Amino acid sequence: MLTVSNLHKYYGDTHVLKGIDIEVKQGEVLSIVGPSGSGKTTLLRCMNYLEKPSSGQLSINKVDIDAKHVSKKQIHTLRQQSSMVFQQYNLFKNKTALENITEGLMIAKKMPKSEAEEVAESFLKQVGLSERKQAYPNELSGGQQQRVGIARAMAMNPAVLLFDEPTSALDPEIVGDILAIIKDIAKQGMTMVIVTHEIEFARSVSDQVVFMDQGEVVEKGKPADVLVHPSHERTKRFLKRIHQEPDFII
Amino acid sequence: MTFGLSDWINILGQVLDRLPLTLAMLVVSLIFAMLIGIVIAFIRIEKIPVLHQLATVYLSFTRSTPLIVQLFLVYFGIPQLLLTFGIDINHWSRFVFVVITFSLHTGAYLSEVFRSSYLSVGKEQLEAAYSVGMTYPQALRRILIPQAFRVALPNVGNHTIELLKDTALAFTIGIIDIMGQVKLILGNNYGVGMFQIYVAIAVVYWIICILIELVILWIERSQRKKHAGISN
Repeated sequence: MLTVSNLHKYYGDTHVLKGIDIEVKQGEVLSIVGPSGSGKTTLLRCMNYLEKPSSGQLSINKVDIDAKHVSKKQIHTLRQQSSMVFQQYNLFKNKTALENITEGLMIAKKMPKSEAEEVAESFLKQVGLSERKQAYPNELSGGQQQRVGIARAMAMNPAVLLFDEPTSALDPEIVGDILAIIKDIAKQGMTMVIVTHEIEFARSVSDQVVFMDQGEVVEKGKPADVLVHPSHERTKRFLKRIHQEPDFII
Repeated sequence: MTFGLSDWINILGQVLDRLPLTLAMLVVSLIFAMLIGIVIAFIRIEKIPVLHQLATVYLSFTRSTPLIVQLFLVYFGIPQLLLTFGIDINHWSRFVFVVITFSLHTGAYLSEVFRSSYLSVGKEQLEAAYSVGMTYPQALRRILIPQAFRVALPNVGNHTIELLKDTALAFTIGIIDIMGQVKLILGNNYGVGMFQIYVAIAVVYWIICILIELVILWIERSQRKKHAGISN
């Protein structure tokens, strides 16, 4: 379903992704964990070409791309195979919750308005926001905005859903709600790639976990292996530090 | 000489006779200025080689020289310059030269308004559009321009008002707009009633400006209702 092969990314002289290889099968959930600056968000953004990889191959839903020889049309086709849920929600500020969802359906998928609205409403219902469909993003709380973000991504019916630290910007008491929604989607058999700091969540939701550090995949495998009995020293150190983190930050 | 009501009405009538010309200069120049503004803003945002540098020189020159100098350069300079290439445009209407000058002048300012408004819409809005499968032109039309428009509106209003007042310079190359008419009236009256006439024309400009402000305010209000508080 999704394959990343020998993917490299440079920012100037900085080598941020050093030959990443990843494979996600249909219906699988892959979580990418790792310390800040490890390149996990960059990797996710490369998957739908919000970042241009310097070299390597990408394949989503049989759309194959070689980063060295890629046309605008290929990029557009690749992007249509996935949709992204952003850390900062990134809702269209000039559109209501409902319009945020119908926009992609009507413009990119050329769906008639009435049908798009029907689809949007059903997804808003799924994330529990039906009664706020006419609200603009700035009238919604962070948690509500992220629900719209998730509904927007799902409504596109992509082959793969990409989550970029979907709960990092949220209040702690909201995090659980959003994670529950994502878990629900996973249960529906959606193929997903999730960049997250929520180790416990990654353990329970994923079929596969990748631990990244300094632009490399250090370890990958079943969540119980990578997150509970890691074999690599760097993974152990990271998990130890995560577990040591205090409950509060002043 | 005492100024009665009929004299005021008479003066106003004569001035307002030329109002269509003033408004024509305003509207036509504004349309071209907006086109120039969009093109220059695009060149500067995309940093298109050569054109980008030329645009920077054009902006610097336009913003650093008085409008009246620009008007004379266009009206007297360009025909002479073209004549050396064997092109004679001396018979062109003065209106054309005025529109060229005002469009270039206001276009320079509007390009900066458009550029900064476009840049004020965060990159994340474009990324969101890409993430739901839109192309750049689609994102531009549906997401970026509507948001930038709202930011640009107050400044576009200000520059429209500036442009209206700038049209008063057109009489210096012999165009009989409302200001030119005032000069004619004064000439015919040997300067009698000068104060009253200038009061009359000041009021005319003032009223048109208020009308422009009202239109802008109305558009802003309707946008605000639509995009309730976009600024967060």
